[in-house]
Amino acid sequence: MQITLEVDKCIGSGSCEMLAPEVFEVGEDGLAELLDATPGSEMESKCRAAEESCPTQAISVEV
Amino acid sequence: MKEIVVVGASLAGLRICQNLRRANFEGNLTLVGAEKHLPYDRPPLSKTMLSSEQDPGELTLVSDSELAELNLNLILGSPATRLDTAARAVTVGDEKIFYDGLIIATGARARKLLKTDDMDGIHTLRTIEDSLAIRSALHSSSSVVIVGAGFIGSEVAAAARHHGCEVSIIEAGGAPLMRGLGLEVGSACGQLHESHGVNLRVGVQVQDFYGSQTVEEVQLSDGSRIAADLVVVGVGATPNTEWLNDSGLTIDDGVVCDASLNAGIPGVYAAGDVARVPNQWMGGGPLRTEHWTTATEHAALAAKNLLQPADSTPYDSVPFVWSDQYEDRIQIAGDTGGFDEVSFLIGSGDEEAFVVGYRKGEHLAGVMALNSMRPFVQYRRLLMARGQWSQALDLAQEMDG
Ligand SMILES: Cc1cc2nc3c(=O)[nH]c(=O)nc-3n(C[C@H](O)[C@H](O)[C@H](O)COP(=O)(O)OP(=O)(O)OC[C@H]3O[C@@H](n4cnc5c(N)ncnc54)[C@H](O)[C@@H]3O)c2cc1C
Ligand code: SF4
Repeated sequence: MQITLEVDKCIGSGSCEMLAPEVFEVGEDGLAELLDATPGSEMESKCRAAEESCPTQAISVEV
Repeated sequence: MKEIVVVGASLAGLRICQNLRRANFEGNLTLVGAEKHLPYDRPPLSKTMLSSEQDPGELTLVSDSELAELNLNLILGSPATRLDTAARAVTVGDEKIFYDGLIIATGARARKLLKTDDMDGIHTLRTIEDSLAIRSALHSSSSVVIVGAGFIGSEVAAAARHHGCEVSIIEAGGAPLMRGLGLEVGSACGQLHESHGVNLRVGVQVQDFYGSQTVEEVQLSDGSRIAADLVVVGVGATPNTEWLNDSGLTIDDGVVCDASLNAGIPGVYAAGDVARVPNQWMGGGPLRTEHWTTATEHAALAAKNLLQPADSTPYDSVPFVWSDQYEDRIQIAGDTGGFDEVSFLIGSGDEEAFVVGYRKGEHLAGVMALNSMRPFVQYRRLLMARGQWSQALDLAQEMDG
């Protein structure tokens, strides 16, 4: 799975790190960071939930 | 469960369907929407759609391939007109759609002022059509009057300044965003407008509109008149519940739900702007929120609780909302209403960046941050941990140093 994060769209809602903390973290600067850009397929459900919960569509998940 | 019907095909409705399918619901799934568009995103309607020539197609929340995978019975451009909870049926046009499970996600619509339908040039903003109409009017307008300094009014004011229009904001309260943030912080937000050349008039109301066919002047309660060739009214939203009037559900400023989002009848749930739901984190009674993240959180929870009622989870979340005005970003988390104390944790009201804390009892209840993404994340985490006010003060000192 390939996760893309367009960090300039991030508004620091924290939704992604709440739903998939293994993959996303909001860093010191208040913006989301990818901890793992290519997580295994067992993470798909959590990553999809994060993608759908991002208020500015900064996250995309490709399988 | 074999048949699920979701009414309202916007953010909450779409997210409900996505969550149901992800939870392996394989039965028939019907999504009914009054608008003719595929579910689309509203926040850009008052932001990038107005400040640029963004194509509304970019706002669609679902790709064609994903839509095909969701395998929906999608009915667009046709509102549900009645709910019969005894027969478990929703009326759409001449058809009755029967359900085992129902989720109501009909959202809210912009509140209008009396008489505003009689005259051209007076708009509200809730849909793609509204946004396109305002965008086109901004190109040809010189004097814009915004009624109501809430988030939407404030964002439209910023866009109108971007187009070079003269802009006045008429706000009945003592300051912009006062209902949500209090007078002191609202006044600081007012400075954003004034520093961008907006004529901000607080504590006055619009009394009348003058013009032949198109609006020309706005009459205020203090007797003054302001020239206007475009008026945008942003005075809040009303939940879309009329179609539920004889359903037997409790309707009181939205569909009243318990903490699991259940609307009082087994198998019937509500989510998003239409739902009035207690939030465990906030404590207290049911609340109606008009926040993007609340709609998605409700959607996920309503889908889960509908499929597994025996294992219901209550709604429990730190509210979050953001707003982009001019080059500035506002972020708000937690509860910023009904506080015991409000104080600037970082910076002050005259600065271009600050963080305000709201205290309730011994606890930090909410924060509002202007251009302060870095401290905001720390405070959001403190709110999630139900942190003490003293911790909020310590954090401010650490970050100042
Ligand atoms: C201009 C604007 C800017 C915003 N900016 C922000 C922001 O910056 N940050 C933020 O957090 N939130 C923002 N919001 C709020 C956010 O968009 C809403 O919270 C969100 O849209 C709620 O989604 P919903 O699906 O519950 O309701 P809605 O988006 O209101 O959707 C409800 C849908 O149901 C349809 N419907 C109504 N009645 C019926 C019926 N009887 N049958 C079938 N369909 C029906 C409606 O036509 C609509 O399509 C903004 C809203 C607007 C309008
Ligand atoms: S969900 Fe989106 S906006 Fe929120 S922190 Fe993650 S990337 Fe940023």
